[in-house]
Amino acid sequence: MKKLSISKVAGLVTGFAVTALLVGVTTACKPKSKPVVPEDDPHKYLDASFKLSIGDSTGVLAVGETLQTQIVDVKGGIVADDLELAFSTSDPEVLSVSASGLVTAKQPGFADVIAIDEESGAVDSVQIQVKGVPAQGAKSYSGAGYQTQAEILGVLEKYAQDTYLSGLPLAGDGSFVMYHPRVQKGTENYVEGYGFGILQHGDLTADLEGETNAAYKRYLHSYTSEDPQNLNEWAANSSSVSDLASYVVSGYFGSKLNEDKTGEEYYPVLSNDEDFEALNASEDAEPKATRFKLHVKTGEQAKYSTLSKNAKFSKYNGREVALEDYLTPFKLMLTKKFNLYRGNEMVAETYARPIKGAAEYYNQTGEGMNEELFNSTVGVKVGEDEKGGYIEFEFAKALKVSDAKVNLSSSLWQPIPMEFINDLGGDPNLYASFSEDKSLSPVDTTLSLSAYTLEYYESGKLITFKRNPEWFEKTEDTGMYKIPGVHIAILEAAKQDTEAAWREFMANKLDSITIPGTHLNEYKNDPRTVEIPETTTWKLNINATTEELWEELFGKNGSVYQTTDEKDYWDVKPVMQNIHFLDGLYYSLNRIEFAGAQNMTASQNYLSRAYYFTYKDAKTGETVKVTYDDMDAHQKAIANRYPETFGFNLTAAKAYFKLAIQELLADGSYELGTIENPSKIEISAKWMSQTSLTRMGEPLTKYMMDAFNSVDPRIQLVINNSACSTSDEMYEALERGQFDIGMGAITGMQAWPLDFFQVLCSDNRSGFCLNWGPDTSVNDGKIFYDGNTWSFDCLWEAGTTSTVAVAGETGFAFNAALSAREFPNDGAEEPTYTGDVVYTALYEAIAAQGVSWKITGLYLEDYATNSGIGTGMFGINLATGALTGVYKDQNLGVDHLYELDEEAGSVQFTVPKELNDEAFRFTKIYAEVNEVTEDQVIAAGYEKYNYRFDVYFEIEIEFEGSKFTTSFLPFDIYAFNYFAA
Amino acid sequence: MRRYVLKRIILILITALIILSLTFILIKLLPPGKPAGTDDQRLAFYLKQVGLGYMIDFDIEMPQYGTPLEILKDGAGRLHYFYVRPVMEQYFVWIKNIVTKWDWGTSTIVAVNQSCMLIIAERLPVTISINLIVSAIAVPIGFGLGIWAALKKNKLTDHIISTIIVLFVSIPSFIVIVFLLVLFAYKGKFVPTQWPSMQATPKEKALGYIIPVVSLSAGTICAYARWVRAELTEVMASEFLLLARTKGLTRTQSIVRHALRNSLVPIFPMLIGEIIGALSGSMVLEQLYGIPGIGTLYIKALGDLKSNIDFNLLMVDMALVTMIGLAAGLLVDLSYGFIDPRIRMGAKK
Repeated sequence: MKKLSISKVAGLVTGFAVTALLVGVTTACKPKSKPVVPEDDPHKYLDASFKLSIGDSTGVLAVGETLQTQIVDVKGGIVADDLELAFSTSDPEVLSVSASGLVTAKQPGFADVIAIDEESGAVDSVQIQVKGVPAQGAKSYSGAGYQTQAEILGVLEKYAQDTYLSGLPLAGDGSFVMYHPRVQKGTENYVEGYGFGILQHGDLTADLEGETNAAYKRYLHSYTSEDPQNLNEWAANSSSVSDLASYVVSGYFGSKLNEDKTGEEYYPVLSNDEDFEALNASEDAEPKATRFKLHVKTGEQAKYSTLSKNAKFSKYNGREVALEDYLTPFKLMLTKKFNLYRGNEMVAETYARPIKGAAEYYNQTGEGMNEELFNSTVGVKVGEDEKGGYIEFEFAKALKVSDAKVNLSSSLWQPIPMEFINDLGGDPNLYASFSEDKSLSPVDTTLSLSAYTLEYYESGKLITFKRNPEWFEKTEDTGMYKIPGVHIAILEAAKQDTEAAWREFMANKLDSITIPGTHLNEYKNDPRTVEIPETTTWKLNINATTEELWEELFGKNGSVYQTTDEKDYWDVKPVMQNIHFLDGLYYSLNRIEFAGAQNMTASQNYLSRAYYFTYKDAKTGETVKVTYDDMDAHQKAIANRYPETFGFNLTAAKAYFKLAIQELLADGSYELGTIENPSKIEISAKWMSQTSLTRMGEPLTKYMMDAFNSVDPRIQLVINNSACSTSDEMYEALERGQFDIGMGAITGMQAWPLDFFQVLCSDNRSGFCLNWGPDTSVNDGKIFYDGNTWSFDCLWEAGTTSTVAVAGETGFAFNAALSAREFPNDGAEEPTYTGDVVYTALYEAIAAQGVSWKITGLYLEDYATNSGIGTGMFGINLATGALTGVYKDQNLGVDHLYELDEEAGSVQFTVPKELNDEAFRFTKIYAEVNEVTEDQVIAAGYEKYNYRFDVYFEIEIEFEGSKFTTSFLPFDIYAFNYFAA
Repeated sequence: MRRYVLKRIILILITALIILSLTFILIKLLPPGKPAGTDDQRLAFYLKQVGLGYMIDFDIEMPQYGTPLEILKDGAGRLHYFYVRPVMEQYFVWIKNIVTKWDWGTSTIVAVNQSCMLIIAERLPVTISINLIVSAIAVPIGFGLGIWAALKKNKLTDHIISTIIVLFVSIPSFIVIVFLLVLFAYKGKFVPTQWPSMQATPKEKALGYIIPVVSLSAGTICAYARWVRAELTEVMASEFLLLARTKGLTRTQSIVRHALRNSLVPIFPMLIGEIIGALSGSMVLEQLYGIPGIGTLYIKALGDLKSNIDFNLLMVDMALVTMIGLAAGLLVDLSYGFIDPRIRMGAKK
């Protein structure tokens, strides 16, 4: 018998396997017996449609009532008897619908009943209202507990989501970070914009097991995926350079944790003053100045450090900072020949802090630096006075005095000896870089003026920084900077592979890692994991206005903004007013995929996880924080929006798009084209920058267009993307209704989430409304709470303060503004006031029919002082002289301090001099820090102060026989600089 | 022969010049990317490009330069009209610097201010060292396996070796690298997880070679084994070898003295090409294992093909890769004559 050779056997086996594979593939591809779209005509069901009818019903039901829907007008190749309809409702809390289309009304509101034929994809919907009783009378829930507040917020959020008043949420900027157990954080409470303060205030309690080099075992280990090969902030425009440079540079001011470690505070680093002195501050509510002065550290107070072993550069180790060193960065950056990126930026017309004469000097230094020209032209000077060395700036435009400490404290302006630059060959581009022949590394070419010094730099592999023992913030004195060094591994693989850094962390080579999405569920609750809370949710804002509404809000006499030229009127798109189109956009966004690509967390929330309520625990008396996102009220708001996939459902998106197309064709807004020549619906999308257009805009618009364009090839959606130059330009467009879809985010008032919802009020009372369409002052029957229907504004007011509800809408609104101020003074240029100050304010009120009101009191309340001490709220009732809150236990003994002129709609009130001097001081404490005692009295010796207070109107309202008192805060008063006698 | 070699070298230089010139001009002709950001950031970017010689800046419109890329104003009220410097002007400046000063320029993005030649010179030894070790391992093992498989043709040994060859040739190299990383570096902790820095101990530096060498060798060994097996089995079936056996040579003698040498004729040139080609580095391996070699330089220099192309470094890298390829071709051609005395390059007919 012939033996089969092994190769023949192998061949037979392979043959069988291949055959089996082919058979399997063929079988899998075999069409089903009942195809959804027949192969012979992929567009067979394009015109398939039916009407979902409610018969003779008006579409308005009472709670408990039922209604049987019917299918009529079946067209386009489908037969009524063959229809296999799936019924659903857009809001199961309002309506339920059975498999046969029987609708039952459950609670007041509006909801769609939707029927889809799965085979043909034909879909129709009908909107049904369940009538409710509108709110009536005086309403206030502001004193109710946090749970009531959260419920109200949940109801308002649901309305905002359903009407797209809150736009299309996308992703939050939060993450989960895992730390090595040896890491001791500076604070356990994450401080937004600052972090946990590990390097500044924390420590490492053990060696890192994965580090093989003994010298680095106690260093803080992190990584970067970019190797910029230099730390030269002057020449670079990348964050990788500034991230590395931050270890070795300082500004005039820095930030650190405050005393109770709940926030950050700015403090002097290279400065010897507590703040900049504005030499020519304006007398405005928000003072501005063009000239600023600051005393700075020199000599023994600040010394450079370097770990270079090259004699040419090591001589600078321990060298004292000289006053003229503070001018060096400006001379270098503004000299055109050196072509430093940051210097080029400084001479632009739109630069935020334009130094006087900078551009003029720049344009004349193409050949090299010119000291004489610099000294005579550029508005940066140094000098000495009795307090020591100082630097003085003169800017080409006035800058806010209150922001000086933050805005004028750039690490780019860190002093450096000109001699050092000369030793580098005279070219500042070589600073903190490898030399051309690589004989010098950044260790040689960098001078540190910070708590750490650059120790080692190996291209593509490793960067280390070592604690600078000569830095004036010594650990033994301040308790800061206990960690002896920082070890930064350069992991280029991490650019493409999110797992690369993760593997390094798991191998105990890193001290912290952001948990990648693939491991999130596994390690989210690990004891080493810390949640970095979202502070902001990014979203797409929507302009759903009609032409009439747009004209009302933004036209020539617009209530929000006045567009002077009709040529600049925005071309409002009918498609943006169609709620089903907006639904389709919402459900077409794959937030999980999008957020993963952006290194964010997917979110369908308007409020980020940073928003919370607090309550006092009855047993322990401690204040407990509850994240709003975790509360039932929020979960209910998004329950119908596929929360398990963060709102992504392509089937739902397509169904809604189909409905939208049907409606838009029926009302004549658009026409249907042909398959060969489809008609186009064009809308525009604005993005904050070219980078965000590319990174975010392109994938997002692709989701939306792909979903829409797969519904009917005869009509296509085109989203035209455009990038703004600046974020200011972006927000301007949003605030003026000059967009269809616009990227944006808004954050703030995390401790008062219900108050924050003011931003959604369509009258733009907050000044921050970014979505336009629904009129929130109208009770459209969609908001149901506490047995009544409400308008958005009315329920919001009831939840935050109090209101008079008339048919569910706000029945009373009050506004006032300061119109005049008189104060006796000595007539000097910087006046000293010598007596009481008299204010006049004009007020007006809008009251619904049947509502009457009167002013019954006027309160002044102190604004928190700038020193962060805080005063608590207190005030004086100017009608009675009674003090409220906690202040000094004294009665100023004044009465009838205000006069009302109801006919003129004005009120005049006097603020006693003593009250200005002692209560409302809004102080700035200068170099000679004064003792601040518990009762806020500022000791003698300070030079200037402002004062600031809020003005509350107490109003008694009567409606339908009920009276109640509420208060309005229409304005606060900033006083200009006063000098106390 | 000498004349032939000289002629080929001149041709190589001319070919290289044409390739590099075309590359330079085509890349410069790419639409310039407009930078994102605020007005001041864009002004800073354009002024930087002017300083680097890629753009020119006028304070009035210059129609002869075409449409300005952008017009911006500085704080002194001066208007800046930015134009792309004519491509040929940039080209001739570039050529002049190379010819007169052998100055290939400094890097502007990847390793700012560093000489491009030095960047290459710094990275090349790493790539060469890895590839030399790979060759030193892959050649004997690959050849050995190929010879063994050929000698045991159609037997179990041959089938096993062939199966392993097909397996490793089919598996993409990055799969092998990741597998080795996870198994031996992260889980086993036998070898470093990344290419060690210069501060690592000699032991660690030595261990750092294991993953790149093994991952590169696997595919190379299999490729060599496959070629050798194929050629050797063909030669072993030829008549002259039968004659050698009948004349009294042992099997070993006939294979070593005759069969092997004849089978190397097509293999040797491929071997040279493979070894020299490996000098351009393995991009995937270098990226995953953090090796500071030549492989990733090209991609880094290309940037996003818009506003951050490192032109100088890109051209130097192109020049290197081009010269390697052309030189490999010459060496391969010359090697034919070494292996097969019947072939003499440049010999007269």
